[in-house]
Amino acid sequence: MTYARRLSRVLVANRGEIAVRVLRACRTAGLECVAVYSDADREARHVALADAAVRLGPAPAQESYLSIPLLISAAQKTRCDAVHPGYGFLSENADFARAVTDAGMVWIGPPAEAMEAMGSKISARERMKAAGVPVVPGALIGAPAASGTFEEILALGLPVVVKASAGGGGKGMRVVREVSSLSEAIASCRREALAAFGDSTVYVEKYFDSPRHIEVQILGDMHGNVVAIGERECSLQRRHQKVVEECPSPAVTPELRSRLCRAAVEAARAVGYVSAGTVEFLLEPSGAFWFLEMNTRLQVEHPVTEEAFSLDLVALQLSIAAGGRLPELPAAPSFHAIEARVYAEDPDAGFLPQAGRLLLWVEPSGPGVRVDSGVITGQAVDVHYDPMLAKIVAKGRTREEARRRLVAALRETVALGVTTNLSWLGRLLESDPVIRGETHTSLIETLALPAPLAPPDEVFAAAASVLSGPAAAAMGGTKSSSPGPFDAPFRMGGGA
Amino acid sequence: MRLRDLRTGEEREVAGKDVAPGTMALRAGNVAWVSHRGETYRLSAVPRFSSRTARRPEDTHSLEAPMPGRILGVRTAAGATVKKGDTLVLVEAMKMEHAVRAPKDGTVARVLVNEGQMVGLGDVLVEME
Repeated sequence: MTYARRLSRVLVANRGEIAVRVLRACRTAGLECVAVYSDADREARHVALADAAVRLGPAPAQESYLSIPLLISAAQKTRCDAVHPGYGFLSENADFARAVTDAGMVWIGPPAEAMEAMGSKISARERMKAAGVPVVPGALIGAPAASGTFEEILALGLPVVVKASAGGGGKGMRVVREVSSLSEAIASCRREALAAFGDSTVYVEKYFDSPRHIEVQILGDMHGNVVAIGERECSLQRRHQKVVEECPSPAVTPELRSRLCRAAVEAARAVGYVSAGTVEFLLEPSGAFWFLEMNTRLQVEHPVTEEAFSLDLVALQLSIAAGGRLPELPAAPSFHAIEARVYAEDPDAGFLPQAGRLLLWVEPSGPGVRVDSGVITGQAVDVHYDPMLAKIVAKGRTREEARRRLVAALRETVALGVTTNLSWLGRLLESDPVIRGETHTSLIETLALPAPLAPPDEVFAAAASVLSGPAAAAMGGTKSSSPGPFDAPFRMGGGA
Repeated sequence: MRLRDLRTGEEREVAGKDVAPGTMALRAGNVAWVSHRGETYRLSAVPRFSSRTARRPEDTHSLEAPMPGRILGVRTAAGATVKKGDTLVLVEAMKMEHAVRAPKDGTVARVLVNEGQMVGLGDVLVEME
């Protein structure tokens, strides 16, 4: 039996930095690539980098990046023979995977059945238990909670966390520390789950107060081979969303790594997994770990694994989709890599998402620095999509070398016109617990970072210069000569 | 001119108008964006006449959109009596919900938005007395 199938043209069904990332891998593999875009993304970088681009529809994702019929028709119109979904949007939607294969194209991802098995958190828990993978102790809540199910929940011991079965990204999650608030937490989680996912099924898990979030990268091919490629530490989160990730984890010994990797491979095998995927675990200080969920797609933070192991995971996905066998892969990382996610958000205002036009965007560079970004100077950052602008990754021979390179790279990055978390990321990476690698999932909530300083005199003077000037563009030393690239005054220090 | 740092709220009377070497400054609307020694700053001019004298009466409060997004729900109406902390408007952007709450006990004078409407950062949503 042979699965080999030549691919020639890939539709990248996504936007932003991940679309750019996949387009790069396609080009490296000698494949043509087609981008898709909404009306909000006409000027976006991924559109410019592709061989061809197809308009999907208006800005709202439901009418563009989340429309299966529009994406299939875009792929057919441009005679693509494969589709890469990236992450987010439809990447974990089994109906989309089926629509792609039903249309005679190759789905660059796991089989639809594996996506479904892991998509429902409750069914995933049962499958994992059966496969012998340790699962967080929990209880299923059936129809509106009867007192009988409460006993089962209380047997877990408080605190517990109520979660939506169809959920993700922390949506609907409620931590319960007192019996009295349990039934209200279940009711409100149900409401939010119904509104967000159209499914009000919820379940309850034991809640660990300060665990580490550790995940294992796995890859499977169509010939039954599954391998684990080390772990990632993703404990630094705000609003249950990751902001800094690293590989390897400072808490994982070679012995623990091999146990984690074995459990992840078992988990992937249990659902017949193919392509790249991630098995998430909670790690307790004792070294005990518990299966949390499996993400059946490429992960946002995949570059830290790539940098630590010197691999190209998207290239491997393309090769696997074409029927290729997994090559020999290293068992341990040879570098340490840390990633920081640059978000358009205001850390001084509860991390509220920000939007606007990016009037100046300068990316860092240098030894061991990698930038995966989807934005360029002049681009509008739109409220319709995820506010992540770029991922800045640094690697080093040691964790400390990687951390210092990342701090330097963040300071080098310039983003004017849209408020970002750049400065906050720098202060986070310079904090003692992060320097020591003593991170856990509630660290950011409890960590008091040094407050931002008031601007020095030079900053007030520079601001006065652009605010008092005429509306035409000008640069330092060459006042009001040629207009700059922006319809706003722009001044640089220096000149005569 | 008098400038305010939008992050710390610090105000200063500024005489010089030089852009020092290594500093970049750029204007977007009424906000100056300055990149200086690895940090980014946002500043705006403080109108001379408004700072103390021409301000609205102390008892009027304009509640503004904390982020650009869509109005998910309006939980109040003109004339309603509200308590400090009551949710007045829900704003949603990029999958995140934010509740705009009453900063004090009082009466809602005007509601300027409808459910489903898109709003920009700083748009006035509700006026309270």
